[in-house]
Amino acid sequence: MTRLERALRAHEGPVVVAWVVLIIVFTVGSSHFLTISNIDQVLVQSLFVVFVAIGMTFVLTVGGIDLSVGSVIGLGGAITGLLLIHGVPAWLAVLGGLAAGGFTGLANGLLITRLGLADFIVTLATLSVVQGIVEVMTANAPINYPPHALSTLTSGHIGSVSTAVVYAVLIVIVMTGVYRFTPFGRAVVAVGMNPRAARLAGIGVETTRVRAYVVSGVLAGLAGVFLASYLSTVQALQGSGYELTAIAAAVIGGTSLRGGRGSVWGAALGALLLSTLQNGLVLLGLNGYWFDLVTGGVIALAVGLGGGLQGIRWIGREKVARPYQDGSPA
Amino acid sequence: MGVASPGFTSLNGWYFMVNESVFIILIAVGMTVVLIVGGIDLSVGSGMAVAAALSGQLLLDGVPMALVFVIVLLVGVAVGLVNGLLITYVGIPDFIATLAMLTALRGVLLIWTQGNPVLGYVTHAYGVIGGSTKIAPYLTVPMLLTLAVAIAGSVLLRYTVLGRHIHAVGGDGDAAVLMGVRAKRVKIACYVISGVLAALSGILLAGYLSQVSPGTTASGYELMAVAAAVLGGASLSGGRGSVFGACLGAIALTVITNLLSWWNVNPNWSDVLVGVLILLAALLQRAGVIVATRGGQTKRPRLADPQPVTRAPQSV
Repeated sequence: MTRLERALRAHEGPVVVAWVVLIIVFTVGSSHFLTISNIDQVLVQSLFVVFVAIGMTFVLTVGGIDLSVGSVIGLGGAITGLLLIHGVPAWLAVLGGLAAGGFTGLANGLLITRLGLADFIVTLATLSVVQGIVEVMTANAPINYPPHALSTLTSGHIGSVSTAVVYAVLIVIVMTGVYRFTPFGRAVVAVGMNPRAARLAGIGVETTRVRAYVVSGVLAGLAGVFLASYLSTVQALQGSGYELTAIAAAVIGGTSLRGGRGSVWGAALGALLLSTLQNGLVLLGLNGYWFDLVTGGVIALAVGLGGGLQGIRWIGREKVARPYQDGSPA
Repeated sequence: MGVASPGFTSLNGWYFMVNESVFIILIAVGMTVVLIVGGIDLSVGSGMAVAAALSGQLLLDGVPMALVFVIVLLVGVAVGLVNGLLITYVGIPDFIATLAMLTALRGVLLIWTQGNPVLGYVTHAYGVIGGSTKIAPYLTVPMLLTLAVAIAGSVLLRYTVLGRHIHAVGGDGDAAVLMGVRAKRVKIACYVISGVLAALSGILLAGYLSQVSPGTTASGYELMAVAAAVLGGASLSGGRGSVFGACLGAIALTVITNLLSWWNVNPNWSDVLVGVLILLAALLQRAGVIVATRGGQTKRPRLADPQPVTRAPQSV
């Protein structure tokens, strides 16, 4: 098996291919696409979904699903904004936003593991509960926290790159490390693959699941803080709908909905793909209404392509599929 | 309850709520069928919106009403067919294929209407069909249609060959295939049923609302339908579900959202209450499951095991 073949058949293969194709199309279609300022803009606009999709990767890998993140984005932003209004220092306010997200994740995890309820139903319920809490908290009016309190997060620049992009890259690197190289990350994969085997191997299955939801909650809270900084205001519903986008990004990036398999950087690239798409379509002169249609097509294509690339046998080699000998992890 | 709100005990209140809930009931019935076969259909919200807008626009263009309904129902069939083919033959996971369809359909609607609402199509006859005009005291056409659909759905699932096959495929796809069930066709049929019911619900909704907003109409209904079906006893891992339960689940969700406005509570709290009640209902259901299996061998739902890699029959 060649290096190229192995790379294409990695679970992140399709998203890389799809993204490169998009970049080529948009670069040919618009001279403005491949400029530093535009690339920077695409990166900044993608990072909210990047954060949420990374957290979603942990939850999906462990065999769950987290629909509550859309409201948790609003919660993280609202808590941070309200703390800032009450004169709390910015770093503490941001921590408050993250803690609120982590607490929601903890509640999700405990309800699912201790009461034995379905992940989908519990997080659908918390999606509704948290959204209601944020609506009550903000009285459905935008929170205008002191200007510039959070501006260092998304408006600062290092050279011609936004600080936000630097933060995002750091998060992707750190979380990739957590996923692949820490006992917790390995436990997440093991529990998702085979909970009973994981239990017999001495892994705390329930604890691992709860922790995965906490990771998802904290990262959704973080996305909320960054979104609050980017929009310089907080509204109750500003994260609405992000849950499905984040799941799409994670799955495009090679994460399995059945658990046991995932990729943090793949999820980040999946989010970047959607953001690139949105930006490129506007540059090509299509109005915003096209975005939904093309996004739907790209989601289906990227995932369908994934199935196709898995099945590719290079001509003249390995004509017969032999399990365990094709280099893919069994 | 009755003391706190006169509306809750009056027939008018119930009439209003049942009339509101028929749209969710219709897609919840379709969702139940899809959940039993082991899938999920997230596209129904956008499917309803497209059906509603298409009905309105075709009527404005002067197409006869009967023909309009046939065309829109056929569009529903097509949507379900595409969902089913993407899932069974292209091999895209149910969640992702129908999520893509949800997004794409909303996009088609926005491009086609350029974001402008469809309005001015409602005639007296359409108002009757949509349920904004009663045909008898406390009775509307959508109520009768929904009752018929619910009965048909129950009969389909319990007493027909297709119904047994749906349960078989959802219970254990590989075993069903070995038994000679054409699992892919069964699964496609389920998505077609769901697509048609979403189209029907959209047709009625257009008559009820008298205006269709491309961006917002029926948005988020897919999750309501899943919640209703699951509250009614459907399992997200397939093989189990009840049409009757899904109807009760849909009515319960509508009642919850309407309760607070009757109690004059800050409407912002209604989302909190909806969530809490979904949890409570799930807990009650769980408690019921435990009681039901207490006598014999306790069956705990198995955590999802990965498919064995060695033998790879083409599962659905």
